[in-house]
Amino acid sequence: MNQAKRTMLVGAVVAVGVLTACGPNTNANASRASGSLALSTDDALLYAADTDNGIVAVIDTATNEKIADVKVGERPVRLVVGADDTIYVANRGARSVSVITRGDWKEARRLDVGIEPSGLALTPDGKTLLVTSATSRTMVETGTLTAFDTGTLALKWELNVGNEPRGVAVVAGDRAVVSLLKTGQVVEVDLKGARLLQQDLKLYQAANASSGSGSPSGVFSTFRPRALNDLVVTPDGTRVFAPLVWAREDAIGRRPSTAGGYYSAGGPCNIGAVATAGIVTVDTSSTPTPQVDDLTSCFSRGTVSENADFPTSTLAPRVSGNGDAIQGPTVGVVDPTGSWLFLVNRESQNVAIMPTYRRTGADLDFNSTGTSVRSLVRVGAGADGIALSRDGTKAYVYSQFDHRVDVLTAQGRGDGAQVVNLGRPIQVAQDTLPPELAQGRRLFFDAMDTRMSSSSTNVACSTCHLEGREDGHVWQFPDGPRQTPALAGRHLLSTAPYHWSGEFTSLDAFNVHTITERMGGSGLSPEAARQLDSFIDQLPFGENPLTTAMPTEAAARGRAAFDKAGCASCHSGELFTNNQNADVGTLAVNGSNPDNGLVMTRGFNVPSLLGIGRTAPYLHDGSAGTLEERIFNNPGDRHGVTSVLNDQEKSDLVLFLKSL
Amino acid sequence: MTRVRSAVLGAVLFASAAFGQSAPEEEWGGFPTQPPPPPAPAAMPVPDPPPLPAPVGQPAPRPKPVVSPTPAPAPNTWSRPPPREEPNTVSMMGAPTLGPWGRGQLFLLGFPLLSVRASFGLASWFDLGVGFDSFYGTMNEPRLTMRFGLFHDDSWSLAVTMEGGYAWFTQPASRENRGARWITGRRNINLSPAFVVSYRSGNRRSARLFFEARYWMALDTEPVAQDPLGGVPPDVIVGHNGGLRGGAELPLSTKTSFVFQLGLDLHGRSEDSVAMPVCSVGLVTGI
Repeated sequence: MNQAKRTMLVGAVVAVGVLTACGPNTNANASRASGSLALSTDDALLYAADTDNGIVAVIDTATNEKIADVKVGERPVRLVVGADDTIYVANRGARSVSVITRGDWKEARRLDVGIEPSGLALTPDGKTLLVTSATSRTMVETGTLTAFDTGTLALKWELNVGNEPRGVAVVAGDRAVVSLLKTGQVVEVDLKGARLLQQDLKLYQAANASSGSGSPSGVFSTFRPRALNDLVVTPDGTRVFAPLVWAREDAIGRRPSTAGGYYSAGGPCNIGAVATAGIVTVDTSSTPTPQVDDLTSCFSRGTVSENADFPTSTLAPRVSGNGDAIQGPTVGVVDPTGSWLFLVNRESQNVAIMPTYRRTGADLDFNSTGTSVRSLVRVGAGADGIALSRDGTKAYVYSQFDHRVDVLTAQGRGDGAQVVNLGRPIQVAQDTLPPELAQGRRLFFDAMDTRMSSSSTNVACSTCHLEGREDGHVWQFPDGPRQTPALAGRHLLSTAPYHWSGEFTSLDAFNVHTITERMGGSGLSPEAARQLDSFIDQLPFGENPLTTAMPTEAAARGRAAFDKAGCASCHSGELFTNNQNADVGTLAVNGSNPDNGLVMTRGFNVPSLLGIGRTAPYLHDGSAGTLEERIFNNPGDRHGVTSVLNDQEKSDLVLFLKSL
Repeated sequence: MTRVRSAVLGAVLFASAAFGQSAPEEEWGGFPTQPPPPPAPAAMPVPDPPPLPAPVGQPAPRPKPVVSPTPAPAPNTWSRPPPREEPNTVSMMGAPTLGPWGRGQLFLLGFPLLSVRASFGLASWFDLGVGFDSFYGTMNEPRLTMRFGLFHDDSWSLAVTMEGGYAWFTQPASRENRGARWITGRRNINLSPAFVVSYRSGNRRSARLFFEARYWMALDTEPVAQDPLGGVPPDVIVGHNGGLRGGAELPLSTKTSFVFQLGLDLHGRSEDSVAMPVCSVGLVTGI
């Protein structure tokens, strides 16, 4: 071998060595499903958790036929499949997680967790199962993240993570992030040390960074993130998406019903309504950092923000004005390649698909719509689950209200390719609700029904009354600040009049006002109105860990304090309201949006106290962040005669209220 | 920041080339900064004899030089020897190889790439080199280069070149939209054989024209799903591209040339630009 050949050989060997050492990092945490739907590891089986029926339906994906039903705990809402094909199901109504072994179609084990478990995730090594619960077993104001060893199913640790946690996602570096439904916060957790790393990743601050400095486009408002139902992680675990709904914090003007009502327009940067679906991206590779458009400065289309490498923070359909909308995102998933984010929207009954790392391109229409959504596909009602096949060619979506699985696939190739619904849904179960309630539920969660909301507003009752409850948001209405009141478990048909001002004597009258004047809907027929009223009246109560058959000693003392302070004079009866108005010293007479109208002379409608422990903040303007704040800070005894109580009695009173 | 970095890098490269120019080599002309020799004093004109007809097959006699009747006084400055017209044999863009133990460097600035090459002649027919291409910071690719001389005479040269490299992109493929990949057609691993033809007229100072027909295979090791539900792409996608380049090396000295090239790259992947013009200027030096 001569010198030249030797040299060439050495060079080639070195080149190959260098080139093969330069491959990208491998996937750390692939997740192909979220919510009520998941696939087996080999994609042969599809599992659907049907909340009403309390089952996990097992579907053969080759035939699209259901092959088994597995009875689990009450109200299963989410499931996840481990690498060994074990299925874990969060039973929201049973404070438990069901464990099912593939092939053995029955519940093998049930794990006790906190109140209303909903979020599930597995660590990349599959050894730890993480469960979020809305509240802990002993406190209403904080929920938990619980870790189980999947080998032994033993409890490893439990951590208080904040108010009403929902989504959980495992990210790189033995960490997890947890979303808080109402406060719009994302919490970072160290999984090895079982401790909080950050209580708040400050989504709000990032989204309102220019607050107070005005806006070049003339829009000046701030928006609060809430309704964080899920966290969606990329396959490599370095990026998390938090679907949410932005809620306007500034004044909401009166707009005629024909123009869409009060709630129309006024969204971030003039996209959407006062409550607009959005998404925040969190890069988790080092210190988690929210990536979000500054909604207070209104990003300029076609200039700076088009170069951002994350989805637009407000969501709108690709083709505006075609009757489509995006509202009420519940769950999402990133495809196996990490390139596409699928977002399931319960209230608009569709799936929005967008790139995970860009917002412009020949296949997108950022410049005219201001969003990066590429495809929008209609699915059934109450959609809250999605699973993607391993080969990245199929998506399955579960719609709870229809109890069916829709199958989505791609049509065409290239920039014009679209995702379509095959139109051959797999029926999994049937309605268990009475028809009237089932129809009422559809109306309550529907942002597309023009009877309920105009096509330019596209909000549903549930857009603000999250899960039929409340969102903790204070709206600046023309008659003053008004916090979203809770509906669930308060037997509304028995608590007329309605509204904070008590101006509506019947629930139907209130709904007519809200639907037509505020949501811009055309209005409901008497039958449909009755269905909606019935559903609202029977909305399930938010479970309370402090509720016991017999009151605890402290709660009994609290009840005595309640009576001693005269609370029962207004909060009377089984529903803890006398259905009258009262001035408790909270009227805002100054400020940028003072109260006005009826309340100035009559005070506010006395709300029921049922379930009050989970409805912070308090008062019509949300001025009391906790019950303690209200009870311990009641100047002039305007809100009960609390001055007669000592501190212990006040504490007992707070505990009593939380137990309701 | 990237632009600033690129500008600094370009300046450094050209400064390097300029610095290389100052090294001693066979000069074809004085530096502009050297004083020209003083003009000779005027001499009496002497009429030339009438030229004789040249015999067939014989070169014409050179005209007699003008002879001064009195020798001019020697100028009181350093007198340069008459320039020797050594040929410029250092080619990096063309087909001629560098020859055994010959060296050559290339600096190219243009669109879309900034390129640096250093090659060594390992045989009369073979050069081996290393290089670096950059799309101004957003794509950076160290390359290994080989040139095999196939044919060479006083005017024409023909060679086959082979280049290969691994490219780093500042943006992952999933985040890029009409970025470095779209413009350059390159991917993580690039292999590129080419035929190069060079032509040079008999004049040793004349430009060395070159024309190159290039194929390059771009191996994409981080393929992206272009369409939602379009399926998971394979681990590696092979892209086929081509390009035509033409230009000239314009010798400045025995070892240094100014070079320019124009061309067109054709990209085979649908997500890339269909064609991209190429335009570069630079220096080739053997110092």
